[in-house]
Formats: sequence, structure tokens, C-alpha cells
Amino acid sequence: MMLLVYTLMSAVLVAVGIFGLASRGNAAKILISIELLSSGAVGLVFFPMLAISRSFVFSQSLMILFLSVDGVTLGITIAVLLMAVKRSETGDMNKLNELRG
Amino acid sequence: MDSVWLIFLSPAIGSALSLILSPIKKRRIIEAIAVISSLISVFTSAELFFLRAPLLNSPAFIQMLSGPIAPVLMVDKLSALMSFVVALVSFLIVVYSIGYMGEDPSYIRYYSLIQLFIAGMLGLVLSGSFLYLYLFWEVVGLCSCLLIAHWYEKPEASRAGVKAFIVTRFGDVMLLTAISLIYLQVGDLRYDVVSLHLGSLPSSFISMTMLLSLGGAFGKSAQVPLHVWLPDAMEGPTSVSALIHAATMVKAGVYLVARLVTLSLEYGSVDIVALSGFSQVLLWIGSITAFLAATMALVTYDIKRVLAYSTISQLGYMFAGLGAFSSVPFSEAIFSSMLHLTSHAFFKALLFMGAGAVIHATGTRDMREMGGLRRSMPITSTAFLLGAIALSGIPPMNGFFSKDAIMEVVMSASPFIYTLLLITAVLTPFYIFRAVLMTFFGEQKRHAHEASISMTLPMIILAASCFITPSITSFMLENNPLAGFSVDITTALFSISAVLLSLVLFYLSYWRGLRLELAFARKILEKGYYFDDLYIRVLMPVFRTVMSGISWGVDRVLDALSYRIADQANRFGNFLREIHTGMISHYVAAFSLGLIILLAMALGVMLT
Repeated sequence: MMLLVYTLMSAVLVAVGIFGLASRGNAAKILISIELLSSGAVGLVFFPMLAISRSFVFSQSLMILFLSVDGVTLGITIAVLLMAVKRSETGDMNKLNELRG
Repeated sequence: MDSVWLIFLSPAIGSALSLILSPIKKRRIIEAIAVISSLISVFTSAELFFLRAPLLNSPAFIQMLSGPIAPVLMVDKLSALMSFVVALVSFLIVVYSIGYMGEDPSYIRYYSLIQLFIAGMLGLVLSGSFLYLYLFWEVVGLCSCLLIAHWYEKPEASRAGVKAFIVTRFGDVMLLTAISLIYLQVGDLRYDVVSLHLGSLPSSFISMTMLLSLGGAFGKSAQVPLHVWLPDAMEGPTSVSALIHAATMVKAGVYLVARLVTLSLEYGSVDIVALSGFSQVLLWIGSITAFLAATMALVTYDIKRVLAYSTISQLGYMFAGLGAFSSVPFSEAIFSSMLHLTSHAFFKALLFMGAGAVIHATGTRDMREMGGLRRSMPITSTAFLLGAIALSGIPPMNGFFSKDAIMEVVMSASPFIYTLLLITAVLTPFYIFRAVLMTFFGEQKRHAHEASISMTLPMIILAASCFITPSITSFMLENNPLAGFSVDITTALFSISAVLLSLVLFYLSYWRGLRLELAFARKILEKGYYFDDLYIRVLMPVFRTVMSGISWGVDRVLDALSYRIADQANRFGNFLREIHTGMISHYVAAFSLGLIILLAMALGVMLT
């Protein structure tokens, strides 16, 4: 029962992340949205797996792996966004549309 | 690998090497490459000519790879003779170029192209299949065009190069058609296979193909009505005129006809009746060209154009001699023509070299501004005079024997053609001695000095060889070095009296003031019988009208179709461009939508 609640929570996190990405243009808000999206996605994978596999150790170690990969991607994301902000001298990512067709 | 390959590969390699070594900008090195590569050709072709070819009873085929389009060479007496003459004259002219082109800044292009030309010409005469014949045919045509336009800063020169290319193209298209027809009928282009099958083909097909390939020969060898490019080609360097437009390339047409005759009659078994139209066309076009060109040479003041018209006229003799093959044994016709071809290659190269030396010294081509050069240029004037004597057909020079051989076979073919050629033989000494008189005698108008050793030495060699060239040809074709010197008393007497008549007329008109008031004729002759005007005023507008009609049709149908298709592609691209906004939110919304669709599909699959 609790697992279902956690899974639903994760789905809510994903939905909020996607909404944030779709509606906000500011670099900091995009960063927060990405973070929400990725942690929600990790939960969305982890909790159902826990229910199916019943092997707590395996699922837990997988979770730790996902979280650390998530941390690394966050670092890269921050770096990219910082560079973008520095280059464009604006926090609005929608202004960065130089590659538009 | 057979040493025969080396004959034409060595100038080809030399040509590439001159281009590769061009960054070092050392004139001596480029010249040395040209001399060495053409010298290798001389040695290898001399070996082929003197040592190997006389032992051949049937043509030898030398193949590099196997298969129907593999490179193949054919060595028989004809190709051995031609390759030796071409290699020897080419070598002498390369040596001459060292002096003549001594100050030219674009010497690398010159030597590279001239070696490519030598390679192409040797490949043309040695190739053993129509495919390679045509390939090399185009190589020499291209080199000719580019070398005529060597001084492309002069608008006349580049125009003359283009003209030469376009006019010969008319003939080349006919030749290509003939070759394609042969391929369609026989399924192979190698000479041995073709000659084997020629006998069994219908005679109408044979005469049609032969006449079509004559178009190619007449274009390359500047016969009426495709002769108009050769006088203009004199805009090129004189060494090029000597090599390409006197000694070698213009002989390619004669060689082609001789080759076709040997393929169909000697190696194949074609009924000679099928070739009667072919021989008539050769006789008529050859003799008419000989006569018309000789008359045009009478009035021009450009020393090189005199020689150019004279070349056209002498090529007419060769074609007429070949055309006699249906009336006399064909080997005699080919022998007479080849005899004259060899003689002409030597004495006309000599005349051009002399003219080049004169032009180099005086800086003009107009004979009215020369005169009296006999004293300041003794070697050149002696050599030129010897060449003139050979061209006029005065014994004991080679021109007499070779022209006499042609007269002999033509006399048995047709008395009318014979008369026409005899009249031409009266005109020939007249125009060439007119050039000698205007250039080397009389009062000196410009300061000049004798040419350098690299220019005089080839002239001396050529002048000396003008006494013996008949024996080269007879050694090869008749196995008897003296056959070329045998003369028929009747025709010889006629020829000599023609020369004497000409000299008498010459004396009368230049020393006794005999003036024929022929202003009208003179105008026609100076205009070259209005051939150029016919092409430019009449044929070109017609051609242009037809072509613009075709181009209108192409615009309306084909272009419209392709534009329609391109428009649609463009519109679709524009639609795709619209949705790439560069806004992150749009992309996220799009891929969320995609995610939802995918999930719904997965759910649908799971539920069913």
C-alpha cells in the first residue's frame, strides 16, 4: 500500500518536472524542473521494482547507482546552463534560439 | 612488359612528371624531361621499326589485361612506320622548342601538353582497337586545341583554339557514330575481331560506316569543307604548328583511312565493290581540297598561313592517293600515300621550323615586312629553300618521288582527278617560291640574326633526311629501300613539266611584270572561298534557330516538371522549418505528447 503511495508521489514529481520544463524559461527554474523530473523518474523505476523483485538489496543498490548517476548528470547540467547564461548574458533560455530553423 | 608500351608511355609519364616538378621552376629540368622522354620514344619505335616489324608476317597484338576493352596495341608495318616517323619528328621539334620557346614564361604548360600530345599521337597509331583509337583521337584533339590557344591572352589565339576544337568535333561525332555502329554489329572493337567479321556484313552497312568515319578523317586532316580551322590554328606557337598541324596530328585522318582499308581488304575479306563509293569520295574530296587550298595559298601574306594551306593541299594529295585503292592494288595506293605522308612530315616540319626561325628573328608573320633575310640567316634560308624544293616536287628531293607515286596511282584511277592534281602541282612551286622570294630575297626590312643551335640543328637534320625519306617508307612497306625511288617515266615527265611551267610563270610574273588582273578572284581567294562566311552567316543562324526551338521545348516540358517537384520539396521543408522554434517549452510539450501516445499504445497492447 505504501509502495503505491510512493509510486504515485514519484509520478507527481515527474509531472511537476515536465510542467516546469514546458512552462518556465528561466535557467534556475529549468534546473529545478530537471532535478524534480529525474528524482521522480528514479522513484518511478525503483518502487515498482521493489514490489516485483522482492530483493531489497538488489533494488537498493540499483537506487544508489541511479542517484549517483543523477548527481553526475546534474553537475554537467549545471555546467552547461552556467556556460549558456554566461554566453548569452540572460537567464531566459528561450532567448537562446540561434539554431532555430 | 613489352617495350612497345614504352613508345607512348614514356612521353605520357614525361608529361605528368613535368607537372609534378613544376614547383621547382627550373626550365632546364623541364626541357630535359621532354627531350629524354621523346628520345626514349625514338629509340623504342626505331627498335620496333627496324628490328621487329620487318619480321612480322601478320599483325602482332600486344595486350595488357584480358577482356574486350583491355588496352591492346597492334603492330604491323603501317603502325610501325607511323610511330617511327611521329616519334622522330616529335623529338626534333622538342629540341627545336628549346630555342623557340626559350623565353616563354608558361613553358611548363607547353612542354607538358606537347608530351601529352606525342603520347596521344603514338597511342593513336599503335592502338589495336577502335576504342583506344577514338580515345587517343580525342586526346590529340584536345592537346591541339590547348596548344593553339597557348598564348591565350591574344583573343585570336583562344578563338582559333576553340574553332579548331568545334570544327573537328563535327567529324569526330561522325567517327564516333561509325565506331558505335561497328560495335552494334560486331560486338567488339578490336581490329582483329572486327576485320574477321567485316567480310560477312552487308555491303550497305560497310559503305555507310566507312563514309561516316571519313567524316572524322576529313575533320582531323582539314579537308574541304572542314578545313577552315587549320589556317586559323597558325595562331599557336610555330613549333606546335610544325608538330601538330603539319607533321603528325593532321596525318591521323590519312592514317585512319589507310587503317580502314588494310582492315577491310588486307586482314578482312570485304568485297571491293562495297568500297567503291568510299574510294570515289576520297578521290574527289582529296583532289578538290588539294586544288582549292593551293589557290588560297597563292594570295595570303602570312608566312604560316601559306604553309597551312600548303599542308591542306598536300593532305588532299594523300587522300587522293588512298582513294585510288579501288583501281590499283590497294597496297600500291597505301604505299604511295604513306610515301607522301613521310616525305611531307619531314619537309613540312622543316618549312615550319624555318618559318618559325624567321618569325622568332623578325617578330612578325607578315611576309611583306620580311625580305632579304638570306644574308643574315644563311642556315635557315638554305633549309627553307631545300624544304621548298621538296614541296615543289623537284628531283632529287623526297617530294618529287612521293608525289610521283601518288600521280601514278591516281592516273590509273581517274584522268580527271589526275589533271586536277597536275594543275595543283603547277600552283605548288608558285606559292612556295613566292614565300621564299618575299622572305629571303629582295631588300632587308628588319634587322635579324641567325637562330640558335637548338633551332638550326633540327632543321639541318630534317633537310638532310629529306633526301632519304622515300627509302624509310619503302624499306617498311615494300621490303626494298629503293622502291620509293622508282618512277614512271610518263607521269614523271608530266610532273617535271608542271614544275617547269610553274617556274616559268613565276619568273614572268616577278621579273617580267606579267600581271594577271584578277582582283575579283583575289578577293574570293583571300576570303578562303567564303567557307567561313558560309558557316558564320548561314549555318550558324540556322543552327541557332533550331537549337533555341529545342531549348524552348526543354524549358517548357522538362524544366517545368523538375521545377514543380523541387517546389513541393521546398514547401515541405518550409513546413518542417516552422516547427523548429528553438523554444524549450515547445520541445518538451512535443515529447510529453509523444510519451503519452507511446504509453497509451503500450497500455493498449497490454490490455488486448
